[in-house]
Amino acid sequence: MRRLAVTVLLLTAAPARAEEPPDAAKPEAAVDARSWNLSGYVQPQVGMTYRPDGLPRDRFEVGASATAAGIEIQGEPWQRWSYDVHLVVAGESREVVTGVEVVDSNGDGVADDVSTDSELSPTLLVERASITYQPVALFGVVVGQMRIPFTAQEQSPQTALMFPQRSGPNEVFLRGPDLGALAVLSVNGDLLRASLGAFNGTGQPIGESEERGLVYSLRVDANPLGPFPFGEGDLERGRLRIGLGAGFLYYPASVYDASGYLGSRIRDLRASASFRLAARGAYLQAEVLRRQRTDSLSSRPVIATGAYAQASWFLPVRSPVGWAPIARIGYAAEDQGFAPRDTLFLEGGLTVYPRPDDPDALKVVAQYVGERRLTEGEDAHGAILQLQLTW
Amino acid sequence: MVVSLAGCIDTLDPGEHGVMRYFGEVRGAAPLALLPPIADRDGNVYVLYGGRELDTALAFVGRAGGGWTSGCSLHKGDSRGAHFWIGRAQDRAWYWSGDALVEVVGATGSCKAVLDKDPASNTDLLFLGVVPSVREAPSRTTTVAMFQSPEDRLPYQGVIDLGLGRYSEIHRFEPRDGVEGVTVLGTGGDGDRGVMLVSYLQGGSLVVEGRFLDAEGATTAVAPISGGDPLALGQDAVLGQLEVDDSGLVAGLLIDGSMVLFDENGGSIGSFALDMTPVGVHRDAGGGLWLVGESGGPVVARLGADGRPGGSTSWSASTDADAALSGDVTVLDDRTDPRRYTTWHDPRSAIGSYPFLSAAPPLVYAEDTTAWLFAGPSYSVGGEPRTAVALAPVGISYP
Repeated sequence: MRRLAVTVLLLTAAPARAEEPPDAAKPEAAVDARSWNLSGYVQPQVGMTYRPDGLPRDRFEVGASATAAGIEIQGEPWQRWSYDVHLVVAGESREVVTGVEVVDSNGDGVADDVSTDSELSPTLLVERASITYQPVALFGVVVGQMRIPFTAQEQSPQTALMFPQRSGPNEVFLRGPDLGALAVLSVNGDLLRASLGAFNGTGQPIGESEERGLVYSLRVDANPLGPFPFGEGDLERGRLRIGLGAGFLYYPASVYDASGYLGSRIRDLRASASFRLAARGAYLQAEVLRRQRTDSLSSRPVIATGAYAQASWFLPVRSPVGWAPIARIGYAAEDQGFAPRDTLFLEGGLTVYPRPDDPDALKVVAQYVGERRLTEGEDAHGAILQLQLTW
Repeated sequence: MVVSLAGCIDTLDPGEHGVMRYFGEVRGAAPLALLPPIADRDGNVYVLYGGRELDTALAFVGRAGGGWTSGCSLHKGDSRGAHFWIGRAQDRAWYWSGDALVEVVGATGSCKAVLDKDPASNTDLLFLGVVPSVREAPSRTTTVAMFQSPEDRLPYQGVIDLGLGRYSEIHRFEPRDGVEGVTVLGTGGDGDRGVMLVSYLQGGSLVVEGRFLDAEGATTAVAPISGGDPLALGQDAVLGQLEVDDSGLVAGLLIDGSMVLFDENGGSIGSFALDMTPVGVHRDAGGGLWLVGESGGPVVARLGADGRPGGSTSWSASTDADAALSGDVTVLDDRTDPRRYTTWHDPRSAIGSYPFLSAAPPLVYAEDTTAWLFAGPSYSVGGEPRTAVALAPVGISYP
């Protein structure tokens, strides 16, 4: 989505406006002119998965995946106040239990099992629903539902990802949006960008979980050679840019038992470090991630480590069709405090841009996905063909 | 990142225990008929009350976030008791008790017998031997077992799909001609391969073999076992489990005090002059084998490359864990909500004379940590003693 990148950089795009005097009595027509802006995308996808060690039923699968579509509405109805709503609709993607039946296989009146019926149903996800207040160019506050800016990849717009999905290691450490607030500091046109936030940590509204606490987030990105948006690729084939970043999440929480009394306390610390480089169509991004979670009851820490590196090369802008080879390698070690489970991710492919002068508008990604479960000694190989159209 | 990688994690030192969680009372006085607990990936812990002399079993499940359930008492057969936990997956664990293989779910504490009956003939299936290893893979969750129905003259061995409750890749016991009375003396494994010590009658002679099994349930090697008094060794003659070291050497302590040692080429049963009363054979995190026992205190003796036990030495982790029990110990009672704390005076190891001193090996709870059971106050019901028991993570190491 072309305009999502604009949203992410809203705070850096604001200086000119921030210098305008407060305008509480803005004319009605002027308010309407910038009160909303609609954009969206559609991502149909077909795929194939081959699991050589799977059961015969699971060994080979081919077909269309659920098509995702996103709609985003952005606007600045009043000076210094803006909003961003990003909804994602995925067809037939969530399994819903529609019936439950108790199984008494020996007729003794005691339930031996439970049989369920389920159906797939469409889902509507709120990727982002936020309001931004930007009192000065240097500083702004974002409140609502959004992705926590823990990693570089979490800050990339859905449509600007290099691959159809975020990296496997990234998904191990943080998944989906959360509810909270973020204070953002942007220095000198994003040469230095820092954010400090507090989120629910559960991805759910308060009161929906037995865990009570807040996730405190800190993210610092330095772009010493100039602004460097988080879109994964160098579609502008610009000059050399470098981005260094680090993110931290701290989640102290109390877990209450069913009677409402304190059960245990948990402390979850996650950290990430990122490096990004782009120049003349070449793009490189690498991140390292770490998680440590302890609690007052178990004496068993949850430890995970992950890393990935991905690269692309966008060629050339002036030909009828632009294209970019893409590659990614990732590694995740989960459950290191108990029984380590290591996974290696290997991905590669080609992205074709039928409109290289406006590459974000239309692209086709053909991708190989390999997942090697090192601990269990099993592999899975997949291929994905995704078409993305933005409007 | 540096802060995260630098630590912020408090791990238990050898002999140090974490929060003691009081989960219930069991029959008897310490040492009790309890087996070393197991934990799943979600952090749920499982306790099995039972032993080779009891024809019953009772499982307790402690949820990762607190709270306990109990009531699962599935067991089959009256000629053999509970063996051990064979393994765990993400949110459940399986135990082998008598001739039954039982799945226990961590979140609910519910349990069910795996393949209690043959799906094809609806006859009873008896698990003669189960390899103590669960292979949890994306494709399926399995173990390897030897099983038989009352109608079968010879048992089968194969893969047990623990998720589906089905068997596959089954192989009938070989040899078949003139063979009868197949008996499993003990089982073991190291995750990659399973082993079974079996005996059978062939042409009137008693044959004892060590059998190596792969993850597909196929026999990869048969090791003839000589020596000892095989006629005196019956079903479940191995105390605890057979342990396999990194080189493929298999060791087990037998009920008569002798040891069985073999590799893929063969082995023998024999006795050694020991300066301890042996209790069982354990494997440490590095793959080394240890004979554990008692000699005025907990002691261990490392098994050499040929399996012979070396000189015994004091087991400091066990001694330290035992010393930490003196005096008043705070115990969390989280059997029901709201949870509360109580104090036990001079609790002691609920299994064996000292912590970690058991025939079945202590199982991994966390890195360099096992979960162990501690006996608290006892009382009498109709003249029969009952003892309160708690579980705690304890740091463990071998010298």
